[in-house]
Amino acid sequence: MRNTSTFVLLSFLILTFSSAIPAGENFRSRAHHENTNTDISEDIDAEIKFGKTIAARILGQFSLYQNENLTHYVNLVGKSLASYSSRDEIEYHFAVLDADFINAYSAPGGYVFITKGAIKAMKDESELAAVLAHEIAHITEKHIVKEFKIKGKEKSASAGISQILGSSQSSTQVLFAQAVDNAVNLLMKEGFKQKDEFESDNVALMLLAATGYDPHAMHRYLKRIKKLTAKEEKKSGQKPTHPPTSKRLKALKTIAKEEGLQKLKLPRGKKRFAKYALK
Amino acid sequence: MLLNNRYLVNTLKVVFKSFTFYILLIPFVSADDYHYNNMLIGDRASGLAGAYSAIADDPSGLYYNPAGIVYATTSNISANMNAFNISQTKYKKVLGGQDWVRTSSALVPNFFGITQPLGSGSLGFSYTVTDSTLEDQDQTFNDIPSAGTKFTINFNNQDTTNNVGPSYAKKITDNFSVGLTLYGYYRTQEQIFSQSFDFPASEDDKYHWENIYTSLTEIGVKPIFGMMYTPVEKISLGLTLTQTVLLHSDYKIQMSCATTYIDTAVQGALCQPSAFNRIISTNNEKRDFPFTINLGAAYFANNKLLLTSSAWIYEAINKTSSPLVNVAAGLEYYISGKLAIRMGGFTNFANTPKLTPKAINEYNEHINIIGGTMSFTHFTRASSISFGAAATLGEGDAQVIGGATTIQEVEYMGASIFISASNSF
Repeated sequence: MRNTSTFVLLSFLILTFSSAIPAGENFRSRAHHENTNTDISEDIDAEIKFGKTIAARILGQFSLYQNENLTHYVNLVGKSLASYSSRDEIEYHFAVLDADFINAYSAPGGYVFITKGAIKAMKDESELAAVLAHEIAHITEKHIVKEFKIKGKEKSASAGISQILGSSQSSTQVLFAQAVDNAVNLLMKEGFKQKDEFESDNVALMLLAATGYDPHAMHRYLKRIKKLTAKEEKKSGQKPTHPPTSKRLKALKTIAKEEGLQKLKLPRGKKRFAKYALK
Repeated sequence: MLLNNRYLVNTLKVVFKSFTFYILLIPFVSADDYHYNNMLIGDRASGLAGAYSAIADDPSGLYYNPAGIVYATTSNISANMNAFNISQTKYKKVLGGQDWVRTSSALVPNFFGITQPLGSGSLGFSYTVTDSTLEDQDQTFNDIPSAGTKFTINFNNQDTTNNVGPSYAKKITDNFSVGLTLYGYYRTQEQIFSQSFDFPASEDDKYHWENIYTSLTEIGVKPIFGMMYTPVEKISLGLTLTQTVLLHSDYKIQMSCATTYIDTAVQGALCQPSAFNRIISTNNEKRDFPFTINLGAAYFANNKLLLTSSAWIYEAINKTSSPLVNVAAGLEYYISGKLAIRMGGFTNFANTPKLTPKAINEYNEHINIIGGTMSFTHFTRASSISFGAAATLGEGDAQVIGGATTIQEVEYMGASIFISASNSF
């Protein structure tokens, strides 16, 4: 019998490794999975709850910058951009973090943070808009929501019975807490996937143009902070949370060319920005 | 199963010769000990008759093939199942042309499992009840020609096998994954078997009474190593290797007897008239379990239709067990995106050899069982609820009378209904 077992095992392994036919796994998807692709209101509630918890964690690490005028200004710019974004079901909140390094964060559900250091490195309002648009894009494209598969609980009778029978409540709470930990880690340390960052740059560029800001602002700003961020990362020893700036700049140029934005001349908002600019 | 039976055999070989009355029934342990495929686990797997090792992409995959959980379509899933099982084993023409009927019924929460991603793989934890029997019966045989006016048998049997433990699975390549479930194995069994004779006035109203109490505790580990391979689009192959190893076993038997019947030829030295007779014996021998290979294949015709099959190959572990192959096949069809129907068939053949004619005290049953399953699952977006049923039928032979060469025909019927829920989040 042991010989038979060995034979079966070896046959399976030989069969496995002798075949080089690539096979996708989409065929495993069943008909009911189609139900999961559309959002319901409970999903948005779950996203907001999840994002709010992440935002609280961020605020546990950084203080808010106490400058009411600047906060109001950042919110005006951010909400203008958000009104042109693809998700009008979300209320956006923008805040400035009292930190000197250059970075910005966004949590699902509409929570966007930008550091004092990032604003200091800007020259005009379109650059502020570019950074906020990039963060808004992470929210509209649901990068964290998709990464951690954040879904709401349905309130249908069938789902309720299933949840009671499945005793899923406590498990859900544990997993929610774990997902928050992982999401904070992703935002602060690991960074989004490169493809998500490039997608956000792409969406941000279109959003800038749609809102009426100079779409080249992103390129300008990234080029300016390239050396600064490299220096900061070297100093802190932290690995970059974004793809190499040179790659992003190249991609931005390509998108601008493809979308016909190259020759578009839209306002930069220098004057208004100067009113709130940080010295 | 064989363990318990073997314990009994080892103990009773010494005891029965001098103790038991020749016409008494042998105190069988749980009927399920003679089979390996006693309980289906998980909603989808149960609907597919257990032919699940090539699918295994939900928490019940932790039991059927841990390598499959890397293909779960949502990251975090919990699932559980409650099953109500009933069974009836009828030993035909046991005493005076009368049948002996054993019935069992139990409501068993027999599965809970949860999976979630961890690093580049998937982590899971599950609890399964792979065997559960609850018998509580009494039966009286009247006017047995060779045994007096009344023979009464009372039998209580509680026997549950639990497995609990973690799993981890990882994709090695795009079309090949491996997984390991490390179950802790725990079985408890307690039986009380009492039988008495009332003899007629012509025999001076004599009586004979025996009581046998047994208890068994087993603790061990049950690793399940699984592999899943996708050779071509729409085809999935699964392989699992399972070996249960006992670390501790404690079997106790206590036999008591009182009699006024004097016939040393049949009553033996240990059951003396005018005295209360008792024997207590223990056995810590750890029984062997068969090394088991499961091979599965599934064909995902489209997102509505799925065909699957599976075969289990068990090695023989001692003289009282045979090498064995069980098979299962199942079909899944989505009537709509919210409703799926599943059905399947499976075998649960006896792991014992056929009974030998003219032999005595074989203490074996040889009943081959086949079964069919059907279930309906209603899906919401992130959850599902399933209702299903399984029916089993079997026939075979047994030797339930100690000291006699007669072999009884046996009919077996079983059914279970289950309700199961699954949530993803």
